[in-house]
Amino acid sequence: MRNVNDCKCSMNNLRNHHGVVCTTCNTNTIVPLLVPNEITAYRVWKFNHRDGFSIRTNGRLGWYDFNQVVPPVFAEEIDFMKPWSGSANCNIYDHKGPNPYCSCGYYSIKNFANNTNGSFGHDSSRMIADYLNRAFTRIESLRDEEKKRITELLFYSPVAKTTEIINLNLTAEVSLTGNIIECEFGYRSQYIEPKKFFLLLDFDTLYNLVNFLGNQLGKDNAEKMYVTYQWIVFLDNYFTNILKLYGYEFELRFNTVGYSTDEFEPLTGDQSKNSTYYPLRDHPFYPKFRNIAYVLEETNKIMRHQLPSLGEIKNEFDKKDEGNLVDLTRRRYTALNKRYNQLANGRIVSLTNIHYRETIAEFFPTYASSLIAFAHFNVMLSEKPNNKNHLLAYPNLAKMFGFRYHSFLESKYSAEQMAVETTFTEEHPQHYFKGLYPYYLKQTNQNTPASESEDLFDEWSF
Amino acid sequence: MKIGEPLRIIEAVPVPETEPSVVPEKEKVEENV
Repeated sequence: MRNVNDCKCSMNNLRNHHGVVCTTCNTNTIVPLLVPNEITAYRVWKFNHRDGFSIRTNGRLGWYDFNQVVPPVFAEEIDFMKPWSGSANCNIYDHKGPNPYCSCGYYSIKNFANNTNGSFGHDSSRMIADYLNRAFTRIESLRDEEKKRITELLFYSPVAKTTEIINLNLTAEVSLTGNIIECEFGYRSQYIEPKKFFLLLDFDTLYNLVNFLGNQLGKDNAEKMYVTYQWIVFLDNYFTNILKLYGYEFELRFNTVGYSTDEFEPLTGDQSKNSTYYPLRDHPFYPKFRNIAYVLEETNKIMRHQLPSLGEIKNEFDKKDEGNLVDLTRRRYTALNKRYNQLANGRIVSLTNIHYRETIAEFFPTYASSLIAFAHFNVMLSEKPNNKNHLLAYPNLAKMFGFRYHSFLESKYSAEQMAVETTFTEEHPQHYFKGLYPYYLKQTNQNTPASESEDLFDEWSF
Repeated sequence: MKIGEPLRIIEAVPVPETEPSVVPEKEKVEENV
């Protein structure tokens, strides 16, 4: 049953983008139809690796941002970390969203994993590829030796690869309540509440990124496969733990287009949600991957394969640094100042932040610190009551991170320093995750540590 | 991608599931007696 007439005006094209009701074709006031149920739909939320879902924009939003943030409506945010809390308010006119004659309200679409590359697309692999390609172009400008070292680190380490991804679209199954404008492909609603989160990826895109790095290092296909698989497992764990903080379930799904599903029974109903995206463990490649992973883990043990070590890389860069060449130009000063500002604001330094006015020896320690901070935060998320202040207090997790970090930390801090429980290293997540870390403390009911006093903050903010 | 032409205006009010009917206390008492 419909209660909105089709628009037959010439103005049609201007309106139908966002489900705006035409007043010329609908002269009478429209009485909403009552539905005694919530409506299930899908939309994407933008996730930032420092702040979580609380995205700070510059205030100016394009139509394409409708998919990721909450425009042109801003919720009366009850919980600041959850942009979906509260009812929708139009930020252009003074009315509650969704107004039938405006384009406000929480947007969502009817189909899961539909139109993967459009502005309402659900597939995030292109976003990942964009961020990593940016890092690749930075690596290209380095000298051969340095390039090889950094490429090796990026190839083996799932932490390093994930650190590059600053924002990522997470798809959510949402339930809509309150006033809703139903349109051909989607809805605008008053209230929205996620039920479950998904990360939809395309395996080929991830593999091609690893392949690009592997080719430069002369790695074989099996190792590239293994490294991709490790990355996938890392992403799965990372987002599962993050969304546990928010109190939601998470599922990683992969596109099956291009894989022969003859040997497998195709999934239906809720399992596939009428899409080509299958859960990781139901994907045709999963059993093959497990075999490759098993074989490579065994051979790596026999061959005594060594992961890249942050300490060794740092020492190597230090040795080759042209220490007696001093560049005192204003541009260099501003470049380094920018880095200090980033650190003071708790930015995680990624490879795209290398400035052409600084040497890799200057850049690498800050980069290594943010890698360790990111890795440490992952460990914190996976363990519930977590009082350990630095990574050396845990068993060796090099295999999970894809790099060795002991020599780097041990050369920086003395054993006495690390033995004291209240020592917070420079690599502690509290300095880097300005949005997510306080939320983590709140959710796990841990008291704010004493060292988060003003003294330490002053010291850190340069 | 556009969300398209508006089709209908809805008010979704989820109704909580009704609890199973309980036998009135009076009848219970009578049975016991």
